[in-house]
Amino acid sequence: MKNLLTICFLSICVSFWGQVGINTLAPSVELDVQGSVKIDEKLYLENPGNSTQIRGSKLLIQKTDEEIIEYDIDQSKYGPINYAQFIFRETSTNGLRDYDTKISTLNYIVTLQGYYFTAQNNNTNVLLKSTINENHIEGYQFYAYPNPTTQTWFIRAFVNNSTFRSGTGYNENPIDIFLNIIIYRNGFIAKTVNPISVNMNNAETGTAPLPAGF
Amino acid sequence: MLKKTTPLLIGFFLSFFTFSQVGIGTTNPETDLHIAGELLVQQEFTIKPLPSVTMGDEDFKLVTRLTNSNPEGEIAILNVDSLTVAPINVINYEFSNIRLDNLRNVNLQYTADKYIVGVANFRYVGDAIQKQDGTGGKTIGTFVLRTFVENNQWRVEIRNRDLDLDGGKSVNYYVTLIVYDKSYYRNLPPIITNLGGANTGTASAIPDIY
Repeated sequence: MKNLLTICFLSICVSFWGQVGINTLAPSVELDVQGSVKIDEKLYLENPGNSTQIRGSKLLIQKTDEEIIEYDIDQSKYGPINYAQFIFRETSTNGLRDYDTKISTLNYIVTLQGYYFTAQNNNTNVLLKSTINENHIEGYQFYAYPNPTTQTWFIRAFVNNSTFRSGTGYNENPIDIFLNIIIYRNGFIAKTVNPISVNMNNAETGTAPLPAGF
Repeated sequence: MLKKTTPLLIGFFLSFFTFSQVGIGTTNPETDLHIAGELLVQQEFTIKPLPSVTMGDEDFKLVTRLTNSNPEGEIAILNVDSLTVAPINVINYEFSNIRLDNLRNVNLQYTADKYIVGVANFRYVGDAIQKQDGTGGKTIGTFVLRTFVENNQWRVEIRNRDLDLDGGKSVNYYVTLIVYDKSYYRNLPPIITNLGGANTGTASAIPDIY
């Protein structure tokens, strides 16, 4: 019995003002555990205080083995949101017709959120000419899409029925295309919602259906 | 007598081992403190040092604190698959049977006090608008693609504002809307800079982020 009592006081220290230490004789707060803690059910933090700054704080994440750790974007395989500029040099004069990013459609959502194009050597004198009728103002198609066969994201960046023209006399010379690609990690803070099709019934104004839950 | 009963009473709900592990509600603690049940912390909660994520970690979930639980402050995992609204929602839209090229004002119904709506992946699929004679040459008009707020609801405009498709011609628009929840994405006030006719400039204010 005396032995047990000693062991108890080695592992737990109860002070007069109600502080408990585990593996410490000098608890600095009401419960001070010098070691690891496992909670089988819920944890409530009634009054943890607020973080008032973005800097100097890290998000917490739970791993698949349920351990709670610190999220560090510099150490992690991916960020919640990732940005890469895709630069295509000497692209065909009819634009980028299909490009495999090799990014998995299962794990990521790829979006094209901005673009510009130049002639060689950052020359901004580029024009577009319709191959059908020079009076046509052709529409742009700059987008990322999932390829179900490869299960990777593809990119297209072109103008309908048009060629890019640049250089002396505005002939068909290769161009450089710059794309701002935002890549969300699927299932972390981003997800895909079912597509919405809106029939405008030959009107200029209308209302699109709202996805469930919004 | 008291000396002998005290550890027995403690031993009734706490169990100790020679390697200093404490169990609450369990006689087999797996860690230094193992609570086989719930834990409520009413004041500060400090952990140090906390291990950091490594390159090998994947499919981890964000830890959040619920403000509407009872008691308040339940620590929960953000599982976007089980949420109807995630912090970031990616939604493909197709607009068909449009009057000429003019999608002037379509109410997307996302309320502006809860969401921010951005555009990505635009596609113009259909007939071309014709250039028209203007003063001093042909005009190509101005093509606009934007989301905007009116009456606290997000809307989209896609059209050539000045020119129209010829009658009988048609176009479908495809766009991906990125719907951000405002609890994760801050909407800052607009930054307005009068350039006085110049084509370069310096910001009149920097965004209030800290």
